[in-house]
Amino acid sequence: MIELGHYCLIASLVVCTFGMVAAIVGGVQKNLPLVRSAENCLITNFVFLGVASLCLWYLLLTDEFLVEYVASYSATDIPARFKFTAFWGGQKGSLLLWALVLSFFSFLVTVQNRHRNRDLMPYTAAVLLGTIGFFMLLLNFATNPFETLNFIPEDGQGLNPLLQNYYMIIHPPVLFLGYVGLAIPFALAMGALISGRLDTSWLPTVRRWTLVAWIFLLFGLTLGGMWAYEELGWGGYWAWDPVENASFMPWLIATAFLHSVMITEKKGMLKIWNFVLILLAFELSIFGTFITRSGVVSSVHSFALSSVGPFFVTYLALSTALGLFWIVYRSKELHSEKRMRSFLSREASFLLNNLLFVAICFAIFWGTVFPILSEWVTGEKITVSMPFFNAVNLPLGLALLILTGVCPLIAWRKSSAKNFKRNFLTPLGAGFLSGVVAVALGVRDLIPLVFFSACGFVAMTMIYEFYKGARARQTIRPSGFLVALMDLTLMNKRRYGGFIIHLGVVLVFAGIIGSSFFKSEQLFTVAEGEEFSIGDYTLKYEQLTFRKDPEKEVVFAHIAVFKGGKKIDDLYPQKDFHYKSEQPMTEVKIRSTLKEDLYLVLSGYEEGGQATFHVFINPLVQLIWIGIGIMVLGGMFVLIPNKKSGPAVALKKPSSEEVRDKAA
Amino acid sequence: MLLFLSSFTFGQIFSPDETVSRIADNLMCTCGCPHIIGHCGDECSVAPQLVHEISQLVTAGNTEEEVYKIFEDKYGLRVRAVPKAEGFNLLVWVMPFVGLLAGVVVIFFVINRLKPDDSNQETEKVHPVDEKYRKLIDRELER
Repeated sequence: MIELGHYCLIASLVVCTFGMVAAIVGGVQKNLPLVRSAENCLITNFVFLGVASLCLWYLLLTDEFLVEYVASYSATDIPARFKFTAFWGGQKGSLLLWALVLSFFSFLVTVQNRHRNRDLMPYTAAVLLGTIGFFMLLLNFATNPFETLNFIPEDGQGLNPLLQNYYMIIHPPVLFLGYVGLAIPFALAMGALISGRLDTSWLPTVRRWTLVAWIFLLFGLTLGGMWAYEELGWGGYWAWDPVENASFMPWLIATAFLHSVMITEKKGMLKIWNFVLILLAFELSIFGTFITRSGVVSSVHSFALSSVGPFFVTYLALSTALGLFWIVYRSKELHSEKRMRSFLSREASFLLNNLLFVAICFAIFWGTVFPILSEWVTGEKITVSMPFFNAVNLPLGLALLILTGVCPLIAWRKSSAKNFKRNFLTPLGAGFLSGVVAVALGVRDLIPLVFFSACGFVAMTMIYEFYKGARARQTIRPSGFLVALMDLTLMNKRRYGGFIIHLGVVLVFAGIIGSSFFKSEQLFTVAEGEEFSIGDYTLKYEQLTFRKDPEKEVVFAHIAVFKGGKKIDDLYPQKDFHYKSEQPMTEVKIRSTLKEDLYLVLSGYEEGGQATFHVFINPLVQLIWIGIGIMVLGGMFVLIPNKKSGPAVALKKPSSEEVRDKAA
Repeated sequence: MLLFLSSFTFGQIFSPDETVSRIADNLMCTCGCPHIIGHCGDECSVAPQLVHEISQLVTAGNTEEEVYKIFEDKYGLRVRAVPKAEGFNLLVWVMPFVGLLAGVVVIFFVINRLKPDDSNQETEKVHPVDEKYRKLIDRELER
């Protein structure tokens, strides 16, 4: 298996090299057999990397400790599911996973574009093969997962206990699906630039691939946040850790692109800008992988330091230079087809929206790399952490939230004072009402008050859009309101799927503000049988229990939870001590309701049974997870393909929203 | 082993007051993790000691800025969660807003460049069918 894995990696590198040359030559010479051959290389490559990955999984599951990677990230006593996930527990396996996922996506792109986007495909294939080839270079020469030791250890070192939980089974691969997904839009965009096919016919394919990556990135980020919330024991879900930032940045740019591409498809504007965003999103995804696995910055994710840094820097520089060269080269052919008539138009508001996404991304990037830059210049190590990111992103986030509500209310081309007033009145009223409700509920600080009002404004904008559309549709085709609403939504999945996503965004903002501004925490040192109170809860510390498991020692406390004098739950926060890693681990226990989370940490204990608990009340945290769930579902809804256009569909009347947009 | 673990207790320290919490949120834990003191996990044996140290300094009458300075002298510049806005490190605060401002200027010029001349105004033709639906929607919305 070790040899088979080795040979597959070598074969993949050979196939990538041959395929890349064949694609370029085939594209230049318009030689279809060569181009097909290159595309077949993409398919073959998936087979080789699939076999290599199966080999690594086999070695992990069979405890083949001769392999250095297996010895470092697995052990005989860890459960089979964690041996399986040890595949991405370290750098070598993660990079193999990157290559495997990219080869799978490349395979899908090849099949999807057998009969379309043909002008682009030779160069798209070349870029994809080049990218996979880069990872093959790394895996063959810098960080080979099949590298063997010169002795066979009795047992492996095991997987980091922090990674031994169910979030870690899916968080890394989902995040990687997002990162890698951004390589496809990049390859298609490069294909368009190199081939000179600069119309908008290929944009739907790019948009859909970007949306797929966007969904995976969002889902992956959320899983990471949930993992931090439940595993790290500090009561929060986002710490602006460099690796969290590295995953967030490509998502922000992909979001900007998904907005700006609408302007290009509808109005033929911002073509250069779109190429820049696609390039940026891809480079940031590579940068994210680099940050995650190179150990160049201090992070909770830096499980291993490595020597892959120079490879990544070289690839980043080369691919950026290549992308920029082609954008500049084609810039004259990428002029806008239509003109912008007003600052008060949807086009302008989308531009502003893009500016905010890029500004937030830039601020995060700047804060992430500034310590390195400062050390180069001043020679002193500094830190840029949470206070900076919170301070900078708070106003930008508020502006973005408000703009989320403003954009749909402004007409394409130019808004008149009349439609401006008509469209804004109800949402503004809802915003004001939200503020009043927040005050009535006891919110007194200005910042959360403004945010909650903005949430009300945006939510009403979205709901009102559905309402107006459904009512107009009822007038055109008489039916019940719900039928009209469903018809409307299904007829324009992109528009209404977007609104669903925005409703999710509102919940996320409300959750973030609630959990950040109204969080409370307290430490209690109590003896067995004693009670203590926080918020509306009274907690009774019943007893402390010790247990020995094969791989760890466990101590857990029994806490009875009371509210209004009535017992509502029993929680068992615990501490583990893993023999192998000699690392203490906190197992937090959380009682979640929509209103708040009761978050309980066993901080310490003494021989007599006295224990210290760190207790948090985190309001509205569940809204964040629900909001993101809605965003993911909204994104998936947008991805549902429309029915094929036939004569019956062609005769269909335009939707009211389409007509209103046109008329405006 | 578990008794050894029991030394990682917050039991000896108090519930931090607001000033101490605020200072702890602006200083990094020195245990080697990438977290601020207030967020360092409960396994950390260093964070409670640092909180205790901050508390003693505050009780002794030191101002917030003086506490930061004392920590900086003891643990180096890295202990601040954000560098003091002076010298080269001023850039960390300035650049995001310079970038935003530059973006606003660029957008202003892009829109101005893309705006049509009044002499060359595009005439919009509204299709009669579109007009019919638009009126229908307008009527509906005015109800």
